[in-house]
Amino acid sequence: MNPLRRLYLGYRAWEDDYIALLDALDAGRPVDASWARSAYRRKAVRTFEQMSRTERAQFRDFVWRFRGWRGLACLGGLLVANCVLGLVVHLTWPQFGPYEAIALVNMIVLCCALGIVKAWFGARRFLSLSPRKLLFVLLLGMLGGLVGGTLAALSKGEAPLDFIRRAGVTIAIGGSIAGAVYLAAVGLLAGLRNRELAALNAKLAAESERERLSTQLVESRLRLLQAQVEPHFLFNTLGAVQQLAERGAPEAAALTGHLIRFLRSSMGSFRPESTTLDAELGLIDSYLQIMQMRLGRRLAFRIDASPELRRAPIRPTLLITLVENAVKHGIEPYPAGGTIGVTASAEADTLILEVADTGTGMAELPGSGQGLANVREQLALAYGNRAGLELFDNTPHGVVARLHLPRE
Amino acid sequence: MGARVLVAEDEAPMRERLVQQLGEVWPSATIVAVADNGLDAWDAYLEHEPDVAFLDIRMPGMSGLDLAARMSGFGVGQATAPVRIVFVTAYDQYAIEAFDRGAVDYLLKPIERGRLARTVARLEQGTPATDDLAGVLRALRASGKGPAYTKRIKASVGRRIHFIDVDDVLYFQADTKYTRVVYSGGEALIRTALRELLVRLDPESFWQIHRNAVVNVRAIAAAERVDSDRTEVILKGSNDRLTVSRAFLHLFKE
Repeated sequence: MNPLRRLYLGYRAWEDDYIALLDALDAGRPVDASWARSAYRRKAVRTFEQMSRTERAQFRDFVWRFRGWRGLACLGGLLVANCVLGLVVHLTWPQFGPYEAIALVNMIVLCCALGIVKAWFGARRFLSLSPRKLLFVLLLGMLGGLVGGTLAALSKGEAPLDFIRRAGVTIAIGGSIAGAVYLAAVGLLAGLRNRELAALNAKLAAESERERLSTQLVESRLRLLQAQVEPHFLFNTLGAVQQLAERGAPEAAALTGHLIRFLRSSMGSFRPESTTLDAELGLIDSYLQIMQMRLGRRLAFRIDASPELRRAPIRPTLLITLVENAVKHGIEPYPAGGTIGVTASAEADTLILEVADTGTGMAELPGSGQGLANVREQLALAYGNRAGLELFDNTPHGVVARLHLPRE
Repeated sequence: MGARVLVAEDEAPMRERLVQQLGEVWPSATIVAVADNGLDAWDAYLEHEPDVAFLDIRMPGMSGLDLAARMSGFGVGQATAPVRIVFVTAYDQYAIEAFDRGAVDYLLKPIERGRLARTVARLEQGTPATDDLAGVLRALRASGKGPAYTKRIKASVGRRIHFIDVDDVLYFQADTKYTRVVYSGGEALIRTALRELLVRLDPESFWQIHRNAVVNVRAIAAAERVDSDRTEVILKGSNDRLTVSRAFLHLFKE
């Protein structure tokens, strides 16, 4: 095989190896065992691991775009351009010999290119530069200056020691200034790049958070819907309707009417983001009417809200869940039954909705956790920390659940 | 003589319906008691000793499942209740699956007349129960659907509040509105009525053996037949003897 071709294939293999490594890190897969083979390879893995996700993804795209002959062509182009620039330098300032000028330009440009690539894809790491590293770069600049100067002197037939004695200090200072300028320029780039990355990361995080919240909202509303029209409720109510109808009782039609109203508004309440307090209280009224027909004198209720407050927009399902809790965990388990009071009031810019029952009380509330957890979740999703739910004992017994909502 | 029936259902329309339907499909039966909560159902059971009990599962006071556990002397394994139990439920998926597995009879609300008639026919044949009631109740308890039982009891003795571990209790005895607690460390009076306390005690560990006595199963040393209609329980760690009422004699049969 053509040795050049073999070299190219070796280069491609090396490149593919790195792309595979980047892909593995990106997908969170374990890194191939071959990467633990040498200290150099282990260090490479560490370097990539320290990059942020975005940086790594962008670096991977960069490597992918310039993979194979594309990268080599670019590099070749860069070298040719450097040579041309070197010749221009030589023609402008004849004190630089042609080879000197070409070597100098190549060195500076390639160093800067490497610096830019490192700063671009490792901005965070670059900014956390230690004083030791700083000193190292400055010394390197000085050393470069001295070596270059010495070589130049040699090419002019001057003894290197004489040259260093003559121009050493100047060259060392010039070299370290060049190092500092290089550091400052690349550091500035890294700083800008870091800000851009931070903004990008923040945007991505905000987007994924929004996504998560909206999924959670839909899920929690689904759960509430399922809890609302539970089969137990439906079958018991239908049984009551049937009994009343068979007896020819006029309440049968009324009960059916309440059931229809309840079903219609609880199905509908899944759709809109917001409803009015009035509509929600209508749903609650239907529900409590149904439960009253079923539980008889064990349940009494009253709903109290001014016409002005009834116009307030609220999230659906919050209040009805509290009322259902009061019936299920307060009144139903309590042999003597009790009263449920639903009241709306306002205080400055807060709407206060209260569900008070005189049932069995909080000490004996097994299983009421889920409904309340749903309400809390809904509140947090819909209003953040601007809303709250308080629970306390009613006197002489029972529970008061109080919702604080921002008036919108 | 026709069967004596207890109906326990908390919702009025359903209760009326069941009573009415029973009257139609089972005219020979007598409904001796109708209860609208678990506590009253238990009292009615003690008072009337019915042959058949229709028990709603979800009821205030005590659930139908707990009532069944207490009626059947839950915890002794193959003990069978002296009463045939039919559960009534609108929708309790776990319970229904367990009933089907254990061949326990149940009715779905709203109750269909045909289904009720088949149940009644089975009851009238008077064949002994072949269901696995104890197994079903145990499975439902293991699934964590059951109530939470009290582990400790607070009782004031003089100016002190004693914390009594229910496992240390030998027996509870009703004393008008109070309950006397006899435990390994002495005795105390608590302000809770026995029937309300009973709800919070694990039916596997505590048996009611008389209208006014609930005993810790682990404290029972022996049961002695004193004469033809009197059986007494002899306790470990106490010289007290407790009378077993007729309704609970089945707990002490071999």
